[in-house]
Amino acid sequence: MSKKINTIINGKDYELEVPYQMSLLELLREKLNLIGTKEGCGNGECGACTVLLDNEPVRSCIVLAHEIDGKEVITIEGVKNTGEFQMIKDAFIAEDAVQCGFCTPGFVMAVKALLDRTKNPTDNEIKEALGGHLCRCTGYESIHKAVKRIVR
Amino acid sequence: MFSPFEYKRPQNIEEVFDLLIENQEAQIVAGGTDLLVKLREAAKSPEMLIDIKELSELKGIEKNNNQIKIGALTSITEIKESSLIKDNLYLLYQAAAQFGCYEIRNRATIGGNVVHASPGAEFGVPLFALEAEVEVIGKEGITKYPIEEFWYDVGRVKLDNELLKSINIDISQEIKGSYHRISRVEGMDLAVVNTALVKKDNEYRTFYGTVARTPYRNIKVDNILKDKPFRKETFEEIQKIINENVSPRASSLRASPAYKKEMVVSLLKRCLRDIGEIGDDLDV
Amino acid sequence: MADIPQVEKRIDLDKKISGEAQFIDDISFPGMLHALVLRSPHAHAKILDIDIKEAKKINGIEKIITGKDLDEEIINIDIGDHRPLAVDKVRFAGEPVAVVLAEDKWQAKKALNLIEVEYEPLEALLKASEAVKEDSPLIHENQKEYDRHLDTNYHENSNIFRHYKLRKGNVDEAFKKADYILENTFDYPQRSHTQMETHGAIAKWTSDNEMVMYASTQSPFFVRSAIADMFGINDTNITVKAGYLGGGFGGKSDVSLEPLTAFVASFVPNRYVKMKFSREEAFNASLIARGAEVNLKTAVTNEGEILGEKVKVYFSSGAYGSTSVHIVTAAGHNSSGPYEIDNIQVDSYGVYTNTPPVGAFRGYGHPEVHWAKERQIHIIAEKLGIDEHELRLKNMLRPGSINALGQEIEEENGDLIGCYKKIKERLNEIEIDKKPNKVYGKGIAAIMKSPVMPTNSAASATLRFNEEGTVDIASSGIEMGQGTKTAMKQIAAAALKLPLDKINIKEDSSTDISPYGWQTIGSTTTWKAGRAIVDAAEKAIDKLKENAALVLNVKKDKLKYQGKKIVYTEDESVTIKTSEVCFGYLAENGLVTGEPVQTYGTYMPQGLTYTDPETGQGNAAAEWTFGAQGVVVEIDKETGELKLLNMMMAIDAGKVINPKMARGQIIGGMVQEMGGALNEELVYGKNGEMRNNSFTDYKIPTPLDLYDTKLDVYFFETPEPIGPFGARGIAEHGTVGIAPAFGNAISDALDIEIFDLPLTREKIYLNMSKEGDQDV
Repeated sequence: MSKKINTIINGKDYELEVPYQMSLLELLREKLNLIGTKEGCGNGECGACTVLLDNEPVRSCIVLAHEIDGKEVITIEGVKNTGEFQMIKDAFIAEDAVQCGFCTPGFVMAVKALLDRTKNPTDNEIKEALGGHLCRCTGYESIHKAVKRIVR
Repeated sequence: MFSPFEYKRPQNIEEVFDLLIENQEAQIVAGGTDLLVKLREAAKSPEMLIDIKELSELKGIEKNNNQIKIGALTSITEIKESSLIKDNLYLLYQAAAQFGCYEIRNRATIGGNVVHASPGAEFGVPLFALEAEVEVIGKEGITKYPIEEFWYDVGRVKLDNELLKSINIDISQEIKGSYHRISRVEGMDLAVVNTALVKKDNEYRTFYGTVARTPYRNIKVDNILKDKPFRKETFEEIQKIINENVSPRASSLRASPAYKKEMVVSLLKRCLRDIGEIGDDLDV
Repeated sequence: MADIPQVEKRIDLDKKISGEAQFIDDISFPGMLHALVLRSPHAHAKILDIDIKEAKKINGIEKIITGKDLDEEIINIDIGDHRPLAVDKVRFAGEPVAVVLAEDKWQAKKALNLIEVEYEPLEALLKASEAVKEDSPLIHENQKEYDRHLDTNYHENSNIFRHYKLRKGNVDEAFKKADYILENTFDYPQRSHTQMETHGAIAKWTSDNEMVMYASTQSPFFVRSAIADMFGINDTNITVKAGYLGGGFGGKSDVSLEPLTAFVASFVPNRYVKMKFSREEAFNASLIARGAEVNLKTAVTNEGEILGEKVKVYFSSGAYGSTSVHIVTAAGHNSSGPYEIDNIQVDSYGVYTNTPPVGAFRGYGHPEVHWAKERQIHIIAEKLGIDEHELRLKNMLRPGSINALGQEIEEENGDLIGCYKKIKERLNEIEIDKKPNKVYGKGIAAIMKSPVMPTNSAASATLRFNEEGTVDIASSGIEMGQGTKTAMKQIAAAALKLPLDKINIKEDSSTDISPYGWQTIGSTTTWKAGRAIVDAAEKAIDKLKENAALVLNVKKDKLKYQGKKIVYTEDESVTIKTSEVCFGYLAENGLVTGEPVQTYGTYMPQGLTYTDPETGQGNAAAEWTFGAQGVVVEIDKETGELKLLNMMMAIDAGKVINPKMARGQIIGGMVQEMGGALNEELVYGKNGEMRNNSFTDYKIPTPLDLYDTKLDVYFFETPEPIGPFGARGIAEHGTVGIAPAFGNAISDALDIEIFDLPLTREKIYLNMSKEGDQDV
C-alpha cells in the first residue's frame, strides 16, 4: 500500500514510491540518506525533525511522507548553502550555541523560517519560533543570544 | 514508526461519506497532530486513513451577517492570525496563541481539536463559553447542534459517518471574553487546567476545563458573577460551589483534583481582569 | 599559569550545524537487520511461557531470540545480577523478553505483535522504602549466588544490594551535647536523562568469534570489557567504536542496550544488527536517574556549630544494581555537604526496586544529598534565628579542615568560601521590580563534588608528528557536547607551544587502536586526558630534543624547546626548526638522524585507596570542586506558577581551558537540574508501568522557561595541582545545588518548607495554604 509521488527536495526533483505509513522523517533519512534531520522523540514534541514544507516549518516525524506530493521540501542539507545559514552559523559560533549538536539542525530550520517570515523579529516572535524546540545541553542561553545577535 | 494502513485522500466530500460507511474502522485525518501521535503508540493502525485536507467545504473563516463561521480545517495559525477573530472573538485568539508550538499550529486544525474532545482541549472551554454551534455534514445533508450536544463525553462527539463542517458563533451582541490556562512549562505543553469566560450584556458564561468529562459550567457561579461589586467572599463562594460540584479524576498525570478545583477559580479571576472587571488586587 | 590558545569555534561545530555530523542512527549497512524488542508490561512477574510460533511465520523474519536462547551470559559490571534477556522472571516493566530480527522494520513489528508471553504477576515494589520492609518480596531471591567485583556489603534475604557506611568521630556523644537537633526526610524522585539522541548500537560478529560494535556510548572500553566478559572471551576479540553522542550525561556511560545487541547479533554472524531505542524506550528501557530518600538528623549548638550528623540514604535503584553501586558510595561520601563536621554517621543503601535500573546521571549522588543538606541548613538557620549565610560560613570547609572521608582540605582544593560569598553578594545586590500578585524569593546553596572512580582509572593519549610538522593526537574521552576534543586540542597546542592549526585531534574512538580511557564521566576527562596529552607532549618534546641534540651535536639538556624551534641555551644562534627534526632529520646526502617522534602519554591519579569498609573513610577522592549557586524566583500567589528571574553559580574551576565552553557546561548543568527541581519525575502506575515515558508528560525545561532569565557564572581559578595547566573538573557541578537553591528560594518567598521534589506549580500552590512543615 504505497503511492508514487513527485516532489522537490532541496531543489532537486524526485519521483518516489513511498509506503503510506512512512513518515517524512523516515523518507528523508532512510530512503534519501538526508541524515541531517534527526529523530528526537517521534511524536512532534522536540523539534529535532523540523524541515520546511512549502516554506513552512513542520515536524517531519508526524507528517506522512506521501503528503509532500506536489510540494517542496527543504532540509538542513538544502539550507546550508543559503546566505541566512552563514549568518546563523556565524552567530552560533560567536555564542557557542552548539554542544552535542543533535537539536541544532531543528533550531537552524526554525530560525531560518523565522528570518524568512521577518527580517527583524521581536522578542515575542523569536520566542514563538523557538518555544517548541527542546535542547538538553545548552540551557538555551547561548541559542537565544545567537538569534538575538543575528537580529540585532 | 506507524504500522501499515490504506490511505485515501478524496477530492470531493461525497467520497468521504461512502468511504466511512464502507470502512467502519477507518479514521479521519486532518493535520495529523493528534492522530499520528496516537498511531505511533498503537500496536496496530486502523485499516484506512481518510485524509480530508482537500475538502474546500471545510475551509475558511467568514463573517455572514452576525455570525462568524470557522471551517473545521482552519489551522490554529490561521485562527491566530485572523483579524476577524482577534477583533470579535479575542478569547479564541488567546487559545490559539497558547496552543502547542509554532510548527504544530501550522498543521493542527480547530476541527481536529474539537472532535478529539479532550476535557482540557484548548478550544473546548472557549467555544462552549461562546455558545458555538457546530455544523455537521453527511450523506443526508447538514445538521446543526449546539456544541454541548455535539461534544458530549471524553473523546466523544456526535458524528455518524459524517464530518464536522464548521463552527459558527453568533456575534450579534458584543462579546467580552477571555481564555486562560495553566501548563507545566512555558514552551510546548497541554493545558493542565483552563478557564474561559464570555460576557454578553450582563450575562456570564464561564466554562472550566479538565474538571469534568466535558467543559464544565455551573449556572450558580455565573449568577453570582452578576452581583457587583466583587469581594473576596464572592470568590470564596464560587470556590465552594466548584468544590462541591466537580470531581476530577484522581488518576490524572497532569494535576490533582485539589489543584484543578482551585485553579479554575484563579483563572476565572485572570479572565475577569482581562475584561476589566477586577483589578490586580488579590483581595477583591 | 600558561596561556591556553583559544579556538574561534569548537572543532565539530561546522559538521554539527550543517547536519553532516554522524550519530549512531545515521550509520547503516547493506543487508542490516533491525532488532525490535518485546518488553514486559509487568514490573514484577514470573515468565511462564513464550510462544513465538505465529511470529516466526511472518515474511522476512530472520530470527527471534528469547531468554531460552541464553547460555551462561551474565552482565557483570560490579554485580552479576543481570542477564541480557529476562529468563525466569521480569523485574521491571520494560525489561526485554524477546527480540525480533528483520531487514524490514515493519515486518519486524508485525512479528513482535504476534509473540505471546504468559506471565504470573508478582507484587511490585516501586520505592526503596517499600522494598526494605521486612515482609517485602525479594526481587533477587539469590543475591548470595551472584559474583561480585567488589564487596558491596549487601544484606542477605533483603532487597539491599549495597550498603556504604561512614563513621567519623562519635555521633552519639555529639548528639548528647547538642542544643538543637533537626530531623527531616527529603525525597528526590527518579528522573530521566532525556539525551536528545536516544541510545543505539550496531553489532556484527564474524566467524572468527570477533565482534565489531558501533555504539552511542561514553565508554567504548568499558562496553568492550562488559561484552567480552559476558561471552567469556578476551577483550581483544571485540572492537567498540564511538563517535559523536547526541548527549550522554552519564546515561550512556555504563551498558544499556549494548550487551543485548551483541547477544542477538551472535545468532546471525556476518550480518550487521542495529538496535535503536525509541524515545519511549529511552525512558523505560535504558537507565534512569536519581531516586533517593534522605533522612537527615543534624545536631547543632545554639550558635550554629554543627556538632554531628546522622544520615540514612535509601536509593530506589531499580531492578539491577551494578550501575548504581558507586552512586550509593558517592552520596555517602558527600552527604554531609561542604562542611567540617567532626562526627558523622552515614548509611547509604542501594535497594532493588521494580523499576528500570538506575545509572549514572550528571551529579552522581551529589544532587540527591545536597537537596537534603542545603535545605536542612536553611531550615536550621530559621529555627535558631541565625542568618543562614553565617551558619554556613561558620561550618564551611576551608584549608586545614578534615572532610568526611578524613582527607585534609588544602588551599589548592579551591576557594569555597570565596565562591559562596560571591553568590551571597550577587543575590543581595539584585533588586526586584515587584509586580502585583507575585511574591519573590532568593535561595542559595553551597556545593562540592568529587569523582567516585576506581583507584586505577586512567586516561591516555597518543601523539604523532607528521613529516610536514603537523601533529596527530588521539586521547581518551568521548565527544558528547562537552567539547572535550576541542579542549584537548587547546591543551595540546599549549603543551607543544604550537599553533592550533598544526594540531589535529581524532574525534572518534575505536578500542582496537585508540588510547585507553575509563568511562567519560565524573567530570574527569579534561583533567585526566589533558594530563595524558601533556605527558605525551613532554615525552615528544624530549624526543625532539634528542633528535636535535644529535643533529646539532650538543647535549640534550642544554637545549630549550620553544615550539616551532629548538634552541641551544649556551648560544641562541644555534637553533633548528622542530619541523626539521620531528620525523628524523634528513641530511642533504640522505642520511637520517634520529627517529620520527611518536609518543604515548598516560595519567592515573596516584595514591587513591578503597575506603575502609567500617568507617567509609580513605583517600578516595582525587580532587574536589567547590562552589555555590543561587536563584531568584517570582511566584504567582494565585496559581503557584514560578518564573525564574536569575540563576547563578560561582565555581572554583582552576584554570579554565575554554571560557565559552566552560560557561556552556555550567549553564547546561544548571538548567538540566532545574528540570528536576521544578518538574521532572518518573511516574508509575499501580502495576509499575511507567506512565510518563514521553515528552508529552515528562516536561524538561523549554526555551521559554529561560528566555527572560539572567544567568551569571563566576569562575574562580585556584590552580588544581593535578590538573593540566591547573584545570579542575566542572562538567557536572552545575547540577549539584540547584534543587535546594529553588527550595530555599520558595521558602524565602512563601515561608513554606517543601521536602519532596519536584517543586511543581501545583505543589507550591497547595503548600501555600498549609501551615508549618507539612508537605503535600
